[in-house]
Amino acid sequence: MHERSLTYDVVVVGGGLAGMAAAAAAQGSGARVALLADGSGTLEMASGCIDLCGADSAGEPVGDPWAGLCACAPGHPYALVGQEYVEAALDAFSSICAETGLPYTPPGRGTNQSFVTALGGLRPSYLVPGTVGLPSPGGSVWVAGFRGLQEFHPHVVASGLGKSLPGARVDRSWAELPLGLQGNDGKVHPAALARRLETDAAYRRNFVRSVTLARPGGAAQDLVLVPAVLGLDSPQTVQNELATALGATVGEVPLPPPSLPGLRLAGRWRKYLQRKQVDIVVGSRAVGAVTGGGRVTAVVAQAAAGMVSYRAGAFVLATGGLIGTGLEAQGFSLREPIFGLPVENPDPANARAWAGRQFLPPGGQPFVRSGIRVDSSLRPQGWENLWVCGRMLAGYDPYAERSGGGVAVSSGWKAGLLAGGATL
Amino acid sequence: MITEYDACLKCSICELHCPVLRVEPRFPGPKNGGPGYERLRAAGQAVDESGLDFCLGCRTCEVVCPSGLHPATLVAKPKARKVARHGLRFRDWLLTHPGLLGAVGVRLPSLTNTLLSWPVARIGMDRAIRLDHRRPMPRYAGETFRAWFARRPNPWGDCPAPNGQVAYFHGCSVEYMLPELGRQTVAVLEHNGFEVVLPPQRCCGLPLIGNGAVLAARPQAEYNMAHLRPLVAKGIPVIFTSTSCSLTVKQEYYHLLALDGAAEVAAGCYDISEFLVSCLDRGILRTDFRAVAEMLPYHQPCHQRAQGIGTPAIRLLRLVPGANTCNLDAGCCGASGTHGFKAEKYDLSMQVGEPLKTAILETGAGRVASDCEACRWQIEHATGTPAVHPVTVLWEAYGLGG
Repeated sequence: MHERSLTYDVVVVGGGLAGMAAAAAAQGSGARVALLADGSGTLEMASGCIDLCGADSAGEPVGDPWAGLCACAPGHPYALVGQEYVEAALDAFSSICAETGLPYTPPGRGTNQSFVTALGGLRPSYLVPGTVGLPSPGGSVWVAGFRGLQEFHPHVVASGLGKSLPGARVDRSWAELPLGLQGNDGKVHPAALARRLETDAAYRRNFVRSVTLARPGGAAQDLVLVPAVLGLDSPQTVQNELATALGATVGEVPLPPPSLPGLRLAGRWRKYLQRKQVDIVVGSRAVGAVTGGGRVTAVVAQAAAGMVSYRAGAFVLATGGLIGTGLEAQGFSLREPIFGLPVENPDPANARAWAGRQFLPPGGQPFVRSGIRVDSSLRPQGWENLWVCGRMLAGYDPYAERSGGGVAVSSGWKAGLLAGGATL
Repeated sequence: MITEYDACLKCSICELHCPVLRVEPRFPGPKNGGPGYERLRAAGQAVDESGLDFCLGCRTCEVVCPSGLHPATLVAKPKARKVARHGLRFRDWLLTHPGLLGAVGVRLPSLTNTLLSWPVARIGMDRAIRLDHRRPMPRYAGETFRAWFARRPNPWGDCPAPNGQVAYFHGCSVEYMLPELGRQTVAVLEHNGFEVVLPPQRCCGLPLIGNGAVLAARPQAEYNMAHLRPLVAKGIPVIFTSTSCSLTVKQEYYHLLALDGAAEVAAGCYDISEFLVSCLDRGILRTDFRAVAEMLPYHQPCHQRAQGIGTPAIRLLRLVPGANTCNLDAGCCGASGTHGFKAEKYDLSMQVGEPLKTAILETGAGRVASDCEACRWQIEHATGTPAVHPVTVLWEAYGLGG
């Protein structure tokens, strides 16, 4: 009686990196797009760095990510997406990020770039946010912590960095933060600090002075590493003011989840899609679909007032894997709840086939490769107007291969282009 | 069965988005203050709940939670227990009964408005009952919306309207303070071929719920349910122009108050923009708009975002030729209904709204559109920029104002 329904050309289910890339691509091809999101994507838990390929399927590090990508097994998402699409998608990603004022540092030809983790390790990635620090061998580094900010310990970072950058000089110290943000226990929340630094020029001046005072003596360091809290949305102002005062390059170190570089990336892309008139529906959980004869006619989503049908000519499924809640697990059985797509997973009768005894084996845990099997047009077999992308895809391990961001962006982009094209 | 606090993964995404935690270090935040404290209480441990009152109830945490939890509801629990034991303080009682002050206000508008805008009286009220003197009070109208509606003839006469009937839940703000918005809403709906009916109604109960007086909200909610249910059962949609009322009837009557038939009524409730977009989708929305030349930034109220309906107002405003609309997407305005009127919350309210204020001033626009009256009052107070309901813009563009 009170049926709620809305009609679009393309409906993308999932608001993470893959879903936003799909929405951007579909919109770019001229389609009217709705993007349904339930909760913030796992994007905001990630470092904001876009991995392409850092290791092969056995976990052996690869120097050239493009060579690693070409060596992927036939059913791997990269093999299905194809190198031309991966290149085009990463180019599109970089130019959209630059257009929205959040530029990424491009890597040299055929290499990865290494950023510093909160434990002082060096982590290979492909595209890195412009504010993230990239140490070079043989340089001198100062790791500056901010007192009260619990997520970042300069001594831990410096000691790790001493091992990962042999020969480099690594200094470390704590800077006191100006008053105003400390709770009763003296703790400072990273989001509160980021917002204050971004919006309050007087606080920023005191902060820069305080950091300058904490600089260890001796020869000046060429890179100053600070926790990634230099702004919720626009960290460049703080970064520049700090760099000018210190006469050194200032680089951020992504913190454990949740992460501000991830939040900035998600926020900039959301605003980009809004400007492009993509209808973003947050707080909307897709729970089912209307299908028949291999075609989807509508996705049904839960809103406060009840169910809403989103009708469209094409649909993109980008709801993430187990962590993103796109797959539901009941014991050794995995389920894709919206369309009921068959999930490729290890033998349910054999627990050992799901996970080995080692917690983090070099080649990854087998269950991580679970997901939806698709063909090279990224559609599951038998479906005409349903495309699948991102962490939902079967046959890869983003953690062991360091390929999560690249698969999300490229499969999302290709799925969006094909879905958009199919409706026009 | 996993209890709600155990379903929290401690991912902290709510903390990253909470507008209060960003400015108020004494607030424990949605993760600790919600599922965290709940877990401690369940284990019989003493918890310092004093900071929880800083929560504005914006529901941002509920929108961003990847696990589908309702941290804001958990954060509000201790306050509700306190109010159940000790009752509301006088100021909060006054703020949570808009109909009482409203009934006086519309009978004696010039006296009430003069008194409420007289600085000496405001400082006195600030001292006596902690009603912040810096916050302008909304002005009362000379006639209630219902009185106006009752004395006008039905424009459809005896013939049924081509697109049928809609019921209008106008809420307290339209009834006592913004009857012109109610008149514009009626005109826009009639222009699109609907007959408007006014079901008997009381305050939706959100001010009470937001101040912890959940039990006191129940009789009003039951009254509203009793009058809306038969209409919804007949297939008549219920239209709201206040997003706080619509969120309450759609969500809280079911989730918080668990009223009989609440889900069924919720299914027939629409925010006005949501309803007009559905008319657009069905091809029955008139688009005979006059061209305008106006930059019109739009602020989405938190209570509309929490409804999971997207941003229908933007789609409507983009139908008006020459209306250059953008989504400000700058977070909570900070008013949060009655909170912004309280002396102890005023500064927090203005700090929370700072990014929105900056975003509005950066556009340089002559006015802002937003669906919630509390957001509009806050925008006007903070930026000096007039703020209108999206329906007002449509009413003008249809040429219904002459």
